[in-house]
Amino acid sequence: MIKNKKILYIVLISISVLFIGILFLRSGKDKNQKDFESILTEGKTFDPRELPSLPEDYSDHKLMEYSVEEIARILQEKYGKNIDNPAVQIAMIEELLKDLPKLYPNDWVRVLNQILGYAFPNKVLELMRMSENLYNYNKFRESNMSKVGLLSDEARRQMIWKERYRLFGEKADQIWSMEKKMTTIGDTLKRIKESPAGNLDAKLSNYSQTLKEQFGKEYPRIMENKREQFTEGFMVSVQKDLKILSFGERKSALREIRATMGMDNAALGRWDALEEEREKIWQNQQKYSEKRTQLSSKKGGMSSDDERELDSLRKKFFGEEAEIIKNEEASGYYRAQEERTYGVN
Amino acid sequence: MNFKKRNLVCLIALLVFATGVHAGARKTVYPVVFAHGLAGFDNLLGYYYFGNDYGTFVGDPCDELLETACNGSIHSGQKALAASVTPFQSSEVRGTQLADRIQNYMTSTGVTKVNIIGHSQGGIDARKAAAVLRARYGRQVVHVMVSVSSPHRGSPMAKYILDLGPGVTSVIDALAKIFGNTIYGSGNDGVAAAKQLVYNDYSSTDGVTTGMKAFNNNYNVDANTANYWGSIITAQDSLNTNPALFLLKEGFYNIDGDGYCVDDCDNDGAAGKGDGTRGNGDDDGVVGINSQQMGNRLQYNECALCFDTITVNTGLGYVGNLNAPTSAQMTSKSSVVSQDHLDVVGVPPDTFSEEEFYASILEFIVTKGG
Repeated sequence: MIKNKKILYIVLISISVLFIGILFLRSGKDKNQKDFESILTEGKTFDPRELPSLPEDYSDHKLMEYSVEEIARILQEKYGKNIDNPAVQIAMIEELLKDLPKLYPNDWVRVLNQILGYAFPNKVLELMRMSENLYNYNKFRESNMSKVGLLSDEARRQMIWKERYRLFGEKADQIWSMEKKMTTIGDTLKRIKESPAGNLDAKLSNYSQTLKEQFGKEYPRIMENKREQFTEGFMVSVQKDLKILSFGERKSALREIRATMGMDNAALGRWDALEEEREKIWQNQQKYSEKRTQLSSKKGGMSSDDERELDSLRKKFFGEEAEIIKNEEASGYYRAQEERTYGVN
Repeated sequence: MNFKKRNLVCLIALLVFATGVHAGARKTVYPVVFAHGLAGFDNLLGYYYFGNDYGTFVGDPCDELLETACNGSIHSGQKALAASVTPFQSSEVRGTQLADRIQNYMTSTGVTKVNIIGHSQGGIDARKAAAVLRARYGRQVVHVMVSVSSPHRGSPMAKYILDLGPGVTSVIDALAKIFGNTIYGSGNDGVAAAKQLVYNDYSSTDGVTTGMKAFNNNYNVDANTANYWGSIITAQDSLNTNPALFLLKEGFYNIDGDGYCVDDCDNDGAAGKGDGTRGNGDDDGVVGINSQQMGNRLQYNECALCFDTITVNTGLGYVGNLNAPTSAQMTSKSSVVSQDHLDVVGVPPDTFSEEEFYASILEFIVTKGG
């Protein structure tokens, strides 16, 4: 009886140990997550300390070239003025995380804490919480990658934003502000594309206003870098409007769009010439395509004379691009069968 | 924590400056066009191609100290175009579209030449685009051409998917699982895209000639179409590959991509053959080592305490004919970047800094006059 009880106790204890072990493992937290948790639970703050003077040429070097104190000083200089902005906090943490895990694979969370504590002693816990949230967010993205990739745009947005708000609260709006702006611009283009043909001026005005509202004082600089993408995005969205215009009207409308998007006279002149050239090429493609269809539909297929005639036609219509068009046709691609995107090709 | 590495670092920095290499990337002479691979530019599994999770493109420069949505490792005046073409199509189609986009950019900005960095199929599209632009302008338009992880001699993965190998129920479904749902958008042709990436003509009965061998004959490495040709090769052991590369991750298929033979002698969809051992870091989950070298093989020197650099691996020589590389060019693991196919364009999980990687390519382009 006693022996049986002993066995029973051993079995019960073993099961308990096993159960606790499973519970422990099921928590699924990795070492870094545990390090974050431990630092934040401990809640240790840092006393302000005198840091070394700012290295003169620090912007020409990587952050990790410097000592912890020097890194802290550089961070104060680079991010101090706007450290309350969550997007700035994330940018700073990301800069540190580029190299810290590589340099200190087993201890980078504690090194991060030290650097942030030296740089911003009054905000160290807030910054460490932000770092922990960022780490957990990245883990979430990694583990849901395939699932997220297969979702519709709307479902994906919903899932991602739910997690962003869960981890970062309202700060998520500031952290992903650029993405939000681009989404708003994309939604505007989608609405324009889905609207009935007509009122091109109003559509252009609406789009231009959206861009200005989204980027505010950064608008000129953003347009400097992304004018082409934003212009083409609009062109694609107003194809219905452009298609119903005559060539002359369309040329004028395209010029107006490009001028509104900020292109100067020299650029508009170059575009006028290219639009003329492309119009001619599309007309030639139609002529060539008709002849090609006629020859290839002959009973018994094309003869070698027909092939030579096509070669000569390609040369006549497309000049130096003739050989390339021949390659395309051999692969099954026929440009003339494509729908033209006015203002783009 | 001892940070007394400073003296050593200063010495390294001194050596770096002494050799003329700059910290961060200088501005390229001509703008840089980024050509994406399969899947749309703004949605590779929900991530931004050539970007990060905040909507920042690696070609966006910072012009203020505190600007956050930008790449701080490139010059503040850097000009770049994130070109967008149909996500899933053949490179005959996508290459022409890319040429149109570049011509549009040149017309809008007035620039006379560009450099191109193409990832995966983007590196293949870029070769055709360079030829189209050469024909249209009657002169060389592309200065430096760099491909990253491009299957210039085919991908066994593409053939495996077309063959509906184990684990693949449909071509479209498999491509969607790997690259995301943009394949369902209009204008996409997943089968044409996959046929493009097989070395030989996939079907002798479909009335058309597809595949990389024919494409390479038409759009080979050519000094007339670009001034400098280089490629970065990626490969990784199977354990570290991206979970999205499901065929590999689920154990369905693993490329053996580091053996040599002329053409596709083992009919796996890529030129060359295997060495009999899979999973020994001979592919990046989509493309084998033996498919990736074009022109010079470039070496990415990742540096934790200094800015990353790109140098030329002179030992392996130049691939001037894409259908006839040497045995060493097909099998050597020298200068291979240990990342998977999706790591280098911003899809996690990785410990890879896309911003610095592309900044180092931009700096390399400057050294080649581009």
